Amino acid sequence: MNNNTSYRAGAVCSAVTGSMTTALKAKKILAGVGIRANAVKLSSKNTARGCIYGVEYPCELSGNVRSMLLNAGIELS
Amino acid sequence: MNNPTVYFDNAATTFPKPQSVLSSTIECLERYCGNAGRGSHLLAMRSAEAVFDARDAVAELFGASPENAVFTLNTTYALNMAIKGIMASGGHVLISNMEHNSTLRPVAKLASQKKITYDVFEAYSSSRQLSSKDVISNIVSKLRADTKMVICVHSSNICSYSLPIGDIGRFCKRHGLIFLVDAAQSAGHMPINMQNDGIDILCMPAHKGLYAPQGLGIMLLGEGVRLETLIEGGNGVNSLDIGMGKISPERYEGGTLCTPAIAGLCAGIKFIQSLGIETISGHEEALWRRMYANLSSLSRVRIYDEAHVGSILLFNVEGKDPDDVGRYLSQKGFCLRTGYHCSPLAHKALGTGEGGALRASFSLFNTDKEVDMLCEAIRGLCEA
Repeated sequence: MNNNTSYRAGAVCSAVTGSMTTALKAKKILAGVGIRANAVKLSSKNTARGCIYGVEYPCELSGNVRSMLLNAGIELS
Repeated sequence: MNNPTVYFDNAATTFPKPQSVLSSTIECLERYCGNAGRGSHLLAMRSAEAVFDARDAVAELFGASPENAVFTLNTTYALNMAIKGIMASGGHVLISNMEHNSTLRPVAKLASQKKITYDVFEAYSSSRQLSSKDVISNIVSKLRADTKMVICVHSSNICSYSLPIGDIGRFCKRHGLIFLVDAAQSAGHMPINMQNDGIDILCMPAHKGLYAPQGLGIMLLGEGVRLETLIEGGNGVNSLDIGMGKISPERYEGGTLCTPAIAGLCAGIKFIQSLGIETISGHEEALWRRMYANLSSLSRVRIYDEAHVGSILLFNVEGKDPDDVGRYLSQKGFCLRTGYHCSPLAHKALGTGEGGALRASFSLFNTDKEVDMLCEAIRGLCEA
């Protein structure tokens, strides 16, 4: 999760949700508040455990996205 | 054979399926059937979205969360997962006297292996109507200090009797018992809400009242309910780990899912929601009443559990073996299931006797005319 406070326009950040199901649930939650996000398979080289999924979203919304997903019960790693 | 085929075995699997289910299933196979949750390419992602949409739809229909909607091969598989997952550390379990073999056999197997103990409580009596209070009292009378779980079929698969799952669920919550419900015959026919009904685990088929293709079952878990896994294998998550992980539903879903059936399930749920469960059950109950009224006039026909109206009517023809009657009806184009219907406990409770009975089970697609045709055929047999 990228928590920097300033980003270049159009930068995309990602949040690791774990499974495809939680990634798609996160995408739905974000869509519900008008945030366009994509469920994606994240690079396996970033984890010592192999295949992992998450959501990608505009970096300028990082703070909001993280709190919304946590409030919805989605664990982020 | 010149007779038209008239299908009255919807308790085994609904037939026909709604056109929207056929279209969604075929669309999946023709256009996007990648392997859901396996990779990031276009078709894997499209399949994963279809699977998620179905999880979301089934969770919403039954008051659960999509990540707690586990897809299985069928209801029996789901019940095995739930029973063996919960009882892995041993203990005592209570099952009703209306359970299908899909519950009785895994419980009996664990007991024969000395891993658990179990008792059967009376939820149905052929000699008197049991109230909800009576059923709870029967559960209380069998409770033990180590009782961990209560298992109930919601609606019987041989008659239209339904157990008071809401009252049993609230009782289980008050006493810290896990409540597992087999909704094989009620899902899609009756409203069920896991939270309101105090259900910890709800198992059901996709191919019966939810009108999806065969090859798919569902296990819905309540919040915080966690099981030991029944099978292990690839689930697309944390592939370098040796275990199945903690994340539901993937933790319980080793191997490739049946995405075409899942796509059909999503369409089936939408079909049900577009009509309303009350409309569907109202139609089935009207067919039940029509058949009951017809058969009641035949002195040689015995109808079981006459007090409960629903989608299943169980009967016998005096002096005839139910399998012979079933064969006779089949030759005339009628599809009914005969015998014990994998429910020896329930047949004993209803007192059907040797050979079991004949079961007519209705769906939304059956008509008054079909019921009249069936009753006419039975009348002909009685008068022969």
